[in-house]
Amino acid sequence: MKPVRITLTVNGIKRELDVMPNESLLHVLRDRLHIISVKGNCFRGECGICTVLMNGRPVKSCQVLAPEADGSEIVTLEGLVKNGEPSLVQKAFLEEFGYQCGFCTSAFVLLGEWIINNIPNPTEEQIKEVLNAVVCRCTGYQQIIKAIMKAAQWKREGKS
Amino acid sequence: MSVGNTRKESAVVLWREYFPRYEYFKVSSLEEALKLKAEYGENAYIGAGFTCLTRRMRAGKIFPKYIIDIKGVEELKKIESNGDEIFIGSAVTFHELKANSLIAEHLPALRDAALGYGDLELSYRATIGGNIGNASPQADSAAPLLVYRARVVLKSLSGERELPLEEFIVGVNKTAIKPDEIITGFRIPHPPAGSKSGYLKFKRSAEDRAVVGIAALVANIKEPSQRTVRLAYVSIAKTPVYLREAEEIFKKDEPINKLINEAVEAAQSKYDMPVGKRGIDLRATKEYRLHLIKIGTKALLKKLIEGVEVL
Amino acid sequence: MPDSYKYVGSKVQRIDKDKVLGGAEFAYDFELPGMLWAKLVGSPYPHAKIVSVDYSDALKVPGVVAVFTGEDFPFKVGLYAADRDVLARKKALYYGHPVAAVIAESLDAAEEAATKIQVEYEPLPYSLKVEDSLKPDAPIIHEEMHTYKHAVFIYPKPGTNIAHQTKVRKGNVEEAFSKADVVVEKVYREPLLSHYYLEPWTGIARVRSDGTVEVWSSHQSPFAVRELLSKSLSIPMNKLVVHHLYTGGGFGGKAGLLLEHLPILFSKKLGGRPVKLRLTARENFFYMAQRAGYLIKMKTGATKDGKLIAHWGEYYLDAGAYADYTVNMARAIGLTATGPYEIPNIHVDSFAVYTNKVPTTAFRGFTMQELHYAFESQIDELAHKLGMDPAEFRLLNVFKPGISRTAIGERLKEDAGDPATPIKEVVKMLSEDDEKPKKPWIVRGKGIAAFWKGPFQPSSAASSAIVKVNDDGTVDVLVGTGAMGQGTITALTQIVAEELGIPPEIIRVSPHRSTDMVPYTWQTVGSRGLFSEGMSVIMACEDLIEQVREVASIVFDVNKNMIEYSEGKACVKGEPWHCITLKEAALGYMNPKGVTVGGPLIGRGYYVPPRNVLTDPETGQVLEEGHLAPFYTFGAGGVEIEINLLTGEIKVLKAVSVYDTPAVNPGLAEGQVVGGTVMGLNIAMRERLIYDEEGEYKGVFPEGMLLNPCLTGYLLARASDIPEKIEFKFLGVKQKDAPFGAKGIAELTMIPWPAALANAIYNAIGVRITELPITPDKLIEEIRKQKPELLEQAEKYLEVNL
Repeated sequence: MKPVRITLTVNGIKRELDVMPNESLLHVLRDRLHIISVKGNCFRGECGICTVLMNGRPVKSCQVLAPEADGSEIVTLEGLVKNGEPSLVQKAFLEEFGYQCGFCTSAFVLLGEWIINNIPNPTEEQIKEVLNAVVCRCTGYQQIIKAIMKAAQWKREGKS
Repeated sequence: MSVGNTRKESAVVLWREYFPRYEYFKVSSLEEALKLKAEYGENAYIGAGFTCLTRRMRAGKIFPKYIIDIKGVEELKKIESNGDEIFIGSAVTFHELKANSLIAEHLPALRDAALGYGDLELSYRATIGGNIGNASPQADSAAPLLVYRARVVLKSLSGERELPLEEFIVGVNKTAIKPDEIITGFRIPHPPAGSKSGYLKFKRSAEDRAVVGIAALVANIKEPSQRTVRLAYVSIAKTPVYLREAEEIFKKDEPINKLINEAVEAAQSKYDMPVGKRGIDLRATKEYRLHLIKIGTKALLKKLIEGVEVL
Repeated sequence: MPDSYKYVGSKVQRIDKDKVLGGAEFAYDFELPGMLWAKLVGSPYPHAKIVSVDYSDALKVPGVVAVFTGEDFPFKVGLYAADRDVLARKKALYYGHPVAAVIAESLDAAEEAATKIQVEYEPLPYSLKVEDSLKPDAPIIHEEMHTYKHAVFIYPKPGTNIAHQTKVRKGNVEEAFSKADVVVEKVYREPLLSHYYLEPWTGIARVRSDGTVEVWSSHQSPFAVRELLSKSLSIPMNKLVVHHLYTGGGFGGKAGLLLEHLPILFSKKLGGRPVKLRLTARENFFYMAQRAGYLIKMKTGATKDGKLIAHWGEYYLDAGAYADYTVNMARAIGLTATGPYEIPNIHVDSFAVYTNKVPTTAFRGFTMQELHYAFESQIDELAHKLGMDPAEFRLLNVFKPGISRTAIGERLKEDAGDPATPIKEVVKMLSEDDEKPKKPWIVRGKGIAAFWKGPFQPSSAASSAIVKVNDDGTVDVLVGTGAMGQGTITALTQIVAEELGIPPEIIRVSPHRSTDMVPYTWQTVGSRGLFSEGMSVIMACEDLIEQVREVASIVFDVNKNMIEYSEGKACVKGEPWHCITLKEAALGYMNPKGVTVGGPLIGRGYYVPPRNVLTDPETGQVLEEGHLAPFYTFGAGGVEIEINLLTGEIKVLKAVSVYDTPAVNPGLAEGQVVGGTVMGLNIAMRERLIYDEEGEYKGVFPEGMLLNPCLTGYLLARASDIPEKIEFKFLGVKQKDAPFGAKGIAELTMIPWPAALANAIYNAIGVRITELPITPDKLIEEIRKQKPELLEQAEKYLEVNL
């Protein structure tokens, strides 16, 4: 097994790294780039808490082979605060108590980003459909859903 | 396990984060993939979304030496119709199936299956080729493909062959694929004009594989001699089941409900989950799955025939 | 909460904002330079002698530093009873029982080497059921039980598989049953469960050259971890520092003896190098303790005027291979045997029983959900038999604070709370909309359950707090409580803000703490966190205010009783120009001539439950007039459901719950209620750990293995699975010696749901379900047994009309 050279753009910064084929994107982000918001749990593609945005789409990073990620653009929770200003989704999670233990929070915030960027006027049902990809054991989801509804509304109203 | 005798065994590694060691190839043409497959045979695993492979590698169930990533091969991403047949490339994702207008128009049961499959994130990664190639007893796409009489297109350096899906899947995680072959896609005859089809999936939570999945296609329902009714099931046996008997049953000139009951009984007789009251996948009791075969078949046919949605 | 409070009772945002903004650190993320990785491997048999372990091939893998086996650590560890091997030694007690550990420079190398360990076993007969473990010829799982050290209130029975028994004896049960007009006798079963907190257990340990052991781990209570490690490994507490970062959920599963001893012992053997053990979810199912299974036999009698008069019970907890908290849970379910109702005649025995399953421990609710499922089903059944309204029947028997005595003879305090009003409120909230289902094969039903719970803790369970004022007038609060998501640290911030009259923004309650840096608290369990730390923090604030007043009285040369404190300053009464602010007094007040009065302001407070007493081992009655817990929260929950008679699927339209207590922060409280409701209903409908108890899967799966250790097998609620409506109320009934009158709620929110659901099913279709979870297959099976005509009627709607 030989290392593979890949190029990744992570939160807007282009990086060149040597990775081993037997690691996943999750390991590249956590262990090589120290992006700790990306968490692991099941390593089976079931819990979803390793979610990152890859080329704009949410994926379970434990399922992405490290060399496969070559050339992709990755966004994690760390990339959402711009010039010290949290994103709308982050602000809404704070206001609506959309988190408790915090271990799945990054995945849900990223799903929220995807929702408000892809579904301008989401219904609760549509939000739930998307959130089904990630499991939360603390909140019962309701305050997460409220937060994403609120962020979507702010976005429609042009709030920044 | 016999009590009293000493034996030596590997200790159990319950799970691992890192994959076993392998070499990775990203190919951009089918030719390239076929060459690698010809060279490495069973040691090479073909994939695009790796949703199943990553899990099985971490479980210590498979140890591929080579992984060939085909998602960059354009011809395997196609969904197209030549007027008679629709071709779906093996690297087409569930998300693409959901969003495709040809599928929506001609193969609604496959669209239903794609809509009910996994979740948004999985649908971006998982492919129809993987769903069929892994030969899981719960493969959602298998039931619609069976009622649409799909043929699996297999290619190797020595040429191309086709197998009806029924003959392709031969056991749990077992197919008739040869070590040098790649599934390139599925050829599906356009369903009969005026036909209706759908897929009904029972699951236990919003994120679950099928407890029972049923696909049906009906056409010319009022004319017994012209009538077409096809039924297929997943998660009732070791392999997806195409209920061949249904074709004959519904040709009989007898009250429709009697025929449906007959088909239900025929489907129930196919239940084949080895051992245990909850079947090999532990998802539900045998009695309940037989119940769902009955309820689901009736509800789905009622919907397709009368347009009345009960479930 | 009245409006007179500025911060307490309002929706102050959570202070752990880094979880949303980035940078939140969990033990999962923690690393040290030169750190090694550990990987465990497990037994392939549920019960087997370990003859030898061969790890020579594992040592050849590049990067591997060492392999350890049970023989390297020849002693036992444990919580209430030292029943646990560090790594399985001589015998493996369950499938997956760790038999060896690989230590390597990288996780990848450790994992690779783990596949190369061979063990020679001699399989032994095993037991996967409580009933089997209790048989006279049962395989004895802990043959050396007589040598185990155990707590004074735990009563193991060496030579059997009984880890503990609790007895409750009150009145004369036989005589009472002979006078009863109605009697309900049933057997209830509840499976083993997984907490499935999202941060898999992780621990990092190192031993410093001066012998100090440091550990960072995923736990609920740093001081409990310290106590257990100190006892188990004989490390003096001043040489043992437990660091608490954020913990990714606990739900009771990170409260007992966890796995910190492993990295500590590995580090000790490796010259003190840091060692990290981080589990994946599947490993967590086997290596960490889960929730016990329950077999509950109950017989309850009432007179025709609706008075409960007799209760008999045998409650068995399936403790798995190691009993951890489960022995004390057997105690808890016994001592609170009859729910929130007064019954004069009681005879209950509760047991923790070893089986060859995964170890078990505490779980959110500490047996109260399990008990109430059975008991609140009994209550409904009795009401139906009596022809009474179930709510009315409950109101006739529910505790009356100041008057009633509980199962253990404890007299409830006058301000103990309000057990009755929640029942009435829940009934009202459920009956507000009464739509009929639109389809004839769908039926609706409503059901309720009442509940109570207090923290089941040692009578001496203490907590303490320090409140410091910094030079600039900001405030640091030091507490020992764990932060695993409940929001206690936010609520404590509000309490300090209220007490000191300063804005929450200038107060910091650190989410991270170390046992050598913060004052003691016993545990973060039992919904006691906010209550106990809240009381401590209030006392610390009062102490601090006294100090400021003292300084002011000296500075202004008036009697101390002339100084009043409010809004962050101490002033002479009637002379608001003579004031000293917290900032001015922070390090001692310096007057214009340079003379300094007082010193750095440090307030100290503590809380120990007043008059909490022990119980008699033979009768379970309190040894003297006193209490089992410092508070009880009372409440009730109810559901409105739709049952699909074709599929057996249940849809929860509405889940309502009412709690007697006030809430310190409505936003946090809502999170607890919604989260607890969803978790509780999911347990009622989906969750169970599956074992092949009947031997049906021999030859298919390894024998004795936990069969569903993953999320496709162990189903958690997803966003689309939550009830359509979740409604709740806090009645605001205050307990006098409680922080702002507020009692704990975290576990309470989860208790009523299985019982309410079972009662709603009965009310809808007359079918009683006595086993959890109530899955569609089980419901259809029970309808077929109890009301088969319902299925036939429903199926008619499936006929096709051509």
